[in-house]
Amino acid sequence: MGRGFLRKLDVKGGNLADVAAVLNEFQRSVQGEPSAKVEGNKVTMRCAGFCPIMRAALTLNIPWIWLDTNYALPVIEGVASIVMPGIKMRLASMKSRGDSACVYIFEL
Amino acid sequence: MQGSETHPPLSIVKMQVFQCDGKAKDAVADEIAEALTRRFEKVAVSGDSLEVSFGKIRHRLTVDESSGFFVLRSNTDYGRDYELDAVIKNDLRLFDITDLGPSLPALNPLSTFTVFMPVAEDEHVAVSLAEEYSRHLSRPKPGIGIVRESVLSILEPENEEKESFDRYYFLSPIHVVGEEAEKRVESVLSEIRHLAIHTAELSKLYNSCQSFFSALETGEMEVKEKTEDFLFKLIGPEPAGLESLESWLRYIMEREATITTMIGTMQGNRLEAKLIVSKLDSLFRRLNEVRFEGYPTNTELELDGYRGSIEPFERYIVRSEAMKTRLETIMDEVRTYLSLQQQKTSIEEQKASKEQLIRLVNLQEILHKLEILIVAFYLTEMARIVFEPVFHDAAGLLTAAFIPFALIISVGVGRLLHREH
Repeated sequence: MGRGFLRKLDVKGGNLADVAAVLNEFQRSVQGEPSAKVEGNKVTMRCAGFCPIMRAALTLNIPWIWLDTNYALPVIEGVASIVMPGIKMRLASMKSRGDSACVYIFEL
Repeated sequence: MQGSETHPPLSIVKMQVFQCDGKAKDAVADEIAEALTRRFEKVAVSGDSLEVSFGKIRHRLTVDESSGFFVLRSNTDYGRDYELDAVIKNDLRLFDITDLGPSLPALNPLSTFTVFMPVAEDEHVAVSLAEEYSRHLSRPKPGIGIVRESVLSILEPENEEKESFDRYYFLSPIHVVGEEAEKRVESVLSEIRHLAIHTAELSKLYNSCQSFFSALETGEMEVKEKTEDFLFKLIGPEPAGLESLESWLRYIMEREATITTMIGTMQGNRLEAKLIVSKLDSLFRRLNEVRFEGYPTNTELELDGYRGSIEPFERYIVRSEAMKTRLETIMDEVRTYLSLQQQKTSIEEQKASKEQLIRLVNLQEILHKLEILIVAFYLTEMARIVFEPVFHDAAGLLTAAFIPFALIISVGVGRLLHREH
C-alpha cells in the first residue's frame, strides 16, 4: 500500500515531507481528512471524526481498541516505514480509548 | 459514634464481578489465592473459600461463576470492635481485585457491590444507622424500605454525571436474631449477587460502547463542517465542478453507510440494555420492598437509575439519525443541483440547435434565390441564342427585355420544383 502511494505521488521517500504526503494520501483513500504535517523533526497526524476502523468495529462487533492495536496501527506504521525505514510511531491519544481524536507522532 | 461499646456488630460483604476470557473458575480462584498468599501472611483454605487474617479481623473469600461472570465475594465480620472510618478508608480496599499485586493480571471489576450489615434492634435504629453510613461514605441516602424483615437503603452513586456501576447497600435485619436473621440476610444477599451480575452485564455493554459515545461528537462536528462547506459551495457564485460533486457524493455515501451501521449496532445494544434492565426490574420485584414511612423505596429510585443507563444508547441513536437526515438532505441538494445543471445544459443545447436551424433555413433561402438566378440566367442565355440568328440587330435589346420574363419563369419553375417540400 505504501509503495502504491509512493508511485502515485511520484516521490522517492526518505524524508519527513514524503512521509506526511503519503500519510495524507492514505487518509484520502479512506475518506479521512488529510492532516499529516511536518513539525520540526517529526510528523504529526490528527484524525478526528469517524474512521473506517470504528465502522468495522461496529459492523463486526469487535472491540474498537483491539482492531486499532492489531490492524490499524500496524498498517499506518507500515505505510510510514515504507517511506522512511526506521521511523517510529507513537500515539498521543486514541479515539478508541475515549479521546476526542487519534494523534499520531512519527519520528526517527 | 465514638468508642467500641456503642457500635453494633457489623458484617460487610463485598461482591466484585469481573470477566476472565478463556479461564476456568478454578484457575481464576487459584490465581486469586496465589495473589492473596503473596500479599497477606495468614491465608488458609477452607473448603471452597479462603480465609485471610488481617489484624484482629478475619475475612472469608469465595469465587464463583455465573453466566460467564466471576464473582469474588469477601465476607468480613467485625463484632463491635471497629472504627467505621477506618473500615471505610482502609479495610474496604483490602481485597480489591484491581490491587491484588503483580501476580494477578490487572482485572477491572465490571461492578462492585458493597453491603454494610450492622445489627439493629428496630427499624428506627436501623434508619439512623443508615444515615450515619451515608454521612461516613459521603453518599446521600435517597431511599429506605423494608425487605424480608430487614431495612434496606441503597446509597446514591458518587458521581451522577458519569455512569456508575458500583453500589453501596445498607442492609440491617430487624426483629430477628441468630440463625433466622442470617438466613433472611443470606436470601437478600443472593438477590443482591444477581443484581451485581446483571449490573456487570450493563457495565460491560456500556464500557464496550463508551468510546463510540465519545467519538460521536467529533464525528458530528466533522459531518457538520463538511456539509456546511458543500452547501456554501453549492450556492456560491462559482459553479461546482463534476469532480468536486463526485468527491462530495463519495463522502456522503461513505458517511451515510457508516452512520447506518452505527444506528443498527446501537439499536441492538439498546435492546440488550433494555433486556438487562428488565431482568433487574424482575429482581427488584422479587425483593418485594415495602415502603417505610414517607421515604421513597429503593426499587423506584434504583430502577429509575438503571433505566437512565439506556439513555446514552438512545441519545446516540437519535443524534446519529439526525446526522443521517442531514447527509440525506445534502445528497438531495447535490442531486437537485445536478438536475438543474442538466436542465441548463439541455436548454443551452436546445438554444444552440435552434440557432443552427435558423442558419440552415437562411442558407436554404439563399440557395433557393441563387437557384432562381441560375435558372433565369440559363433561360436568358437560351433566349439570346434564339434571338441572335432570328433578330440579329435587336438581339441584345430583346435579350435584356427577356430578363424579367426569365426571372418570372424561374420563380415559377422553382415553386413547381419545391411544391412538395
